[in-house]
Amino acid sequence: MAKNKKILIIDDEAYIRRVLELKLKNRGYEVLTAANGEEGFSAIESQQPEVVISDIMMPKLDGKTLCEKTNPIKKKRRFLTIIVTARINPEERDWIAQMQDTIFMEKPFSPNKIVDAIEKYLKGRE
Amino acid sequence: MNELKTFEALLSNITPFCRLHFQIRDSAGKMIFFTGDAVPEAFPPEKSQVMVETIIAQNRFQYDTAGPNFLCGHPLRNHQETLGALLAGGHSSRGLNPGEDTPFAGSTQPREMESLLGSLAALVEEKLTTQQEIEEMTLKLDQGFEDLYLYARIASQIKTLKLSDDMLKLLMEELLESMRVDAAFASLSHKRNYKLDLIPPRVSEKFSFQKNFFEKILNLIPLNATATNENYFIINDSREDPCYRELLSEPYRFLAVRVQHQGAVYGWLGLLCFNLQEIFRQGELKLLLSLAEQMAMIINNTNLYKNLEQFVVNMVKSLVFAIEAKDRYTRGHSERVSTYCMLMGARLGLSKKDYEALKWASILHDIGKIGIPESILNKKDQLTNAEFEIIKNHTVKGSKILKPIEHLGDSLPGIIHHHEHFDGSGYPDGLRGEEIPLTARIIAVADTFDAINFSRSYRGASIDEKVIDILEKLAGSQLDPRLVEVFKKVYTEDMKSD
Repeated sequence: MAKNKKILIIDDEAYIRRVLELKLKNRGYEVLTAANGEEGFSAIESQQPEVVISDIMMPKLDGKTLCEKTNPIKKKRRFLTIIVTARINPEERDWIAQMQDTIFMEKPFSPNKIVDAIEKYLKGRE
Repeated sequence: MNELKTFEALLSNITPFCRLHFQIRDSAGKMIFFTGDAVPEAFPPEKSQVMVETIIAQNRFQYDTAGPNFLCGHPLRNHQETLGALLAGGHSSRGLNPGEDTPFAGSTQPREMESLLGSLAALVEEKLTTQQEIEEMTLKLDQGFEDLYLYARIASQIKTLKLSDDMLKLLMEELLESMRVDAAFASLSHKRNYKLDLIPPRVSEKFSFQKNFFEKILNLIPLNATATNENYFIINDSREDPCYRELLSEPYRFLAVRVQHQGAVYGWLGLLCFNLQEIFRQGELKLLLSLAEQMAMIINNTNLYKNLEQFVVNMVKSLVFAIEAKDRYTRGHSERVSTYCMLMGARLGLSKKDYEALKWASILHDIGKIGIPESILNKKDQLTNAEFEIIKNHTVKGSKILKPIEHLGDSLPGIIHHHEHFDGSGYPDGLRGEEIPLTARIIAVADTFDAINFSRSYRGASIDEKVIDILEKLAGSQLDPRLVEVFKKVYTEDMKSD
């Protein structure tokens, strides 16, 4: 299995970070966390994670802007972005579709399904 | 044990002052870290290994010397088990003795070393225990997320509120994926037709089954009286019984819940799984039972609005569980309070309407706590005035959250006023006596009882009659004296029976 891959979780809710962090760590991933979009962006640049899980509504830098800023990076180095959002509306669906390697999960989300999506992506890349 | 890396810095800083070298090893003897350079003379590998084994086996301090060197170690425990050992070693003639080249006076004799390592071990253990508690709570929360997800998905799918075959297929799909099982199916009877129709089961790829497998397994249910409970039927391991074994060559576990509501039975909802490493959790059973009940209600009820409301109510109930997951002192509180209220309501002979209102108000009375930060809910010290105002606001906030649900209209007074005091000193409106709605007065008694009873049992103090004494002291000031009497009856006669 493709383990010890880096996964970055960006969410301003500590309990969401904690649940995903423990779940992914138990699966053997290396997990990094960030509490806002700005921290998240600099972690993407410096740590080069394979997967980024991000909220949309966040302080400092929202998920949409974060995606727009990271999309050019993906031309050089591929990684998966999973956007977690409370309500998905057509406009959101549209801009997410424009981004490379970006999918969304509706809140309340299933931690198991997030793991499935990560494993599917990493397997596809091998 | 890996969290202990934080202690590496601390112990490394101690080493140059006292010439003691430290190691932390896990219960298998594996090194977590050591301080300074590895000092072979103080820590001969075989000797360290033997010492760790002895410490784990005997669960106490060990001390040993070899020539000028000594080696000692202290167990690291959490509540249940010994997780590893903290070792210290050095040269007996160097180090802590007065007149040596360190500024510290001290001794490396067994008694002193035991005391030193004991207090260091206590620090480490505290960290380990906290870490473990956090992990346990996080795992529970993780399950809560899964359950909430399933609720939300199904709620969004049951928009039409007509239980069509297509919708059932989707439902089975969801069950299959989120509950991590290999097959999900429903078998439902339609009105006045006792023949069960099998909804096309959803199965995972690795599952190949005979055409009539599901009929056969359902046929077993009424025959096997011992395994049949009122609402569900469970096979934890098909190898236990030849009846189960002969249906399918591969070992499996199986869970079916009755699709029923208010006594009317419509069929079964079943799950099958080949992974015998895990079992069906209590939480999964509860969730499945509640899904089955909702299916039954949809079949039962053609009134679209009522169904929609019921659904919202159930969603809200799952929110209650989410709140209680945050507040560690009130876990299960709402459910208990509701039980007490129902018993009191039955004794008071409430009308069906009032009884229903009480039922929902009692289970939802703390829903307004939803936005209160954990730091306030779990605060051990006295709350500041501002924090107390936030807590107080939960009664009004709760009613605002539930106001849109028409079905709960009669329950709102009970939620808003459950912190009013009988003498008028409560909140939010300072109502007194009979001005306070009856449902609110009932909830106040049950709520107060559970708060006292639970916090006492939490602290391990003796319980029982003393709680009742406290309630009696509050009768007339905080609580309605007549209802305290009713509660005493409930407590002595209804609650003792189980």
